[in-house]
Amino acid sequence: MPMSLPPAPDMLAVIREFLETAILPGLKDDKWFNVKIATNMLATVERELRLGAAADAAEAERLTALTGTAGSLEELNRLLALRIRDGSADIDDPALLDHLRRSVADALRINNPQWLTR
Amino acid sequence: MVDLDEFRKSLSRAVVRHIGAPGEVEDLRRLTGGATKTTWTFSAKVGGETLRLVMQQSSPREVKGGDPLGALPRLVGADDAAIMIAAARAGVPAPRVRAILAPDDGIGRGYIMDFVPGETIARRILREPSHAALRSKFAGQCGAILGKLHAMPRERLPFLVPFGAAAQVELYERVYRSYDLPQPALDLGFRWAAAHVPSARRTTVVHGDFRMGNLICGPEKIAAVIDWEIGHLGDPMEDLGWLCVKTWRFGGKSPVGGLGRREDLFAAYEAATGLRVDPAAVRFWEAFGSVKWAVMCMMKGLSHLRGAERSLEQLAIGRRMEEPIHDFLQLLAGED
Repeated sequence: MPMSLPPAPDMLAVIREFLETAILPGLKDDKWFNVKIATNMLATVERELRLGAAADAAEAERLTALTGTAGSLEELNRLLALRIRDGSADIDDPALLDHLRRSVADALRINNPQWLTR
Repeated sequence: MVDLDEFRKSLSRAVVRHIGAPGEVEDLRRLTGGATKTTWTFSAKVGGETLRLVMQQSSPREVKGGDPLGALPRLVGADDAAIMIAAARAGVPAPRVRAILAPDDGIGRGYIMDFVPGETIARRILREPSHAALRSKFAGQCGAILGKLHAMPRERLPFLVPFGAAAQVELYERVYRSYDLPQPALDLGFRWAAAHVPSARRTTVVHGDFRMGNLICGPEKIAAVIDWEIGHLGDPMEDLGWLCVKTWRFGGKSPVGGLGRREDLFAAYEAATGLRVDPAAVRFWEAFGSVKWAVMCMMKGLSHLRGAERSLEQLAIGRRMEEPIHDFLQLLAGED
């Protein structure tokens, strides 16, 4: 990615703040609802831009250890999914469950951090 | 987009035709809207009265041949209205249906029902002082209502399709796999579910989406059960389990809709039906409910890829997929 400034998450944050303070208060019903959703989604993309790379790297490392295979994140997830489907991976395996829980937690830190504390 | 003035005129003509004159429509508001389902509220003058009404417009899911989404139950128009009429007749609180739209009304498929005052927003039902009295009785009322709902005569609802546990596990897995976007946690969920399918003791009418959000709540009573569009025939324990799925607790600590105890739900259901609740089956439906909701999030989040309307709400729901997966993994670990 080029080192363009300002950073993309900052741009999204400023867009979001503008929508929240200047636009939302003047809307109602479905228009209010949809712009509200848009601001939430902008916040999600901000978090993904900040946290996504580290989460991907950690997930890939765990998948490599779990499957004994090297590959892209997509390839490794596909391989693991197929092993679970065909029964060659045991769904009670603590290492598998630990990996899945960590991956889901990292995704929630991006998509809805509050879910982890409820 | 629809021309609102034209739409109001057509709606007014439909009111006159099906409910009564003069049918003048006021306060027309579009509450939620999507390509396949839109809800409107409005007032209409009929006789000397002003009726507060709701119109539900819906259309069948448009899918290509062989797409597993096409096999999911979905009631539209007259069928959706018919199940609510049957529910009301069986003593289940449901909005009174005033009119079923005809094709020549020119406003699509759907129906007009009475507006039921009350609250559907879970956050308020869970926390506002105005609903304190309801909270202590909520689980019991759900049990009693479900008892009546599961006694609804199926013969009058010939359009309901059988959709039991094994069929649901199979179909939702097929839907998930049709995206070819592997999520190992979902494969684990389906393997777990396939190994734990309960054998239903009986087959009844099942609401399919009986949960906080689809129950219009007054200060002391559940006033109406809405959103009957995925009604089907199946295991009645499904409705009890779905009501307890973590997603539908909206942050509340207790299992039944976030504010009630399973014991109260089960006791009221048993009192209403004279039948024993199967807690293990309810647990299955609760756990599988999270897997199912994860797939539903995926369907919504990716609906634009299948040519559906490009909707902000659908995209946002897609990003909620990990919430039920997290809850399911917690349940497996015995943490709830």
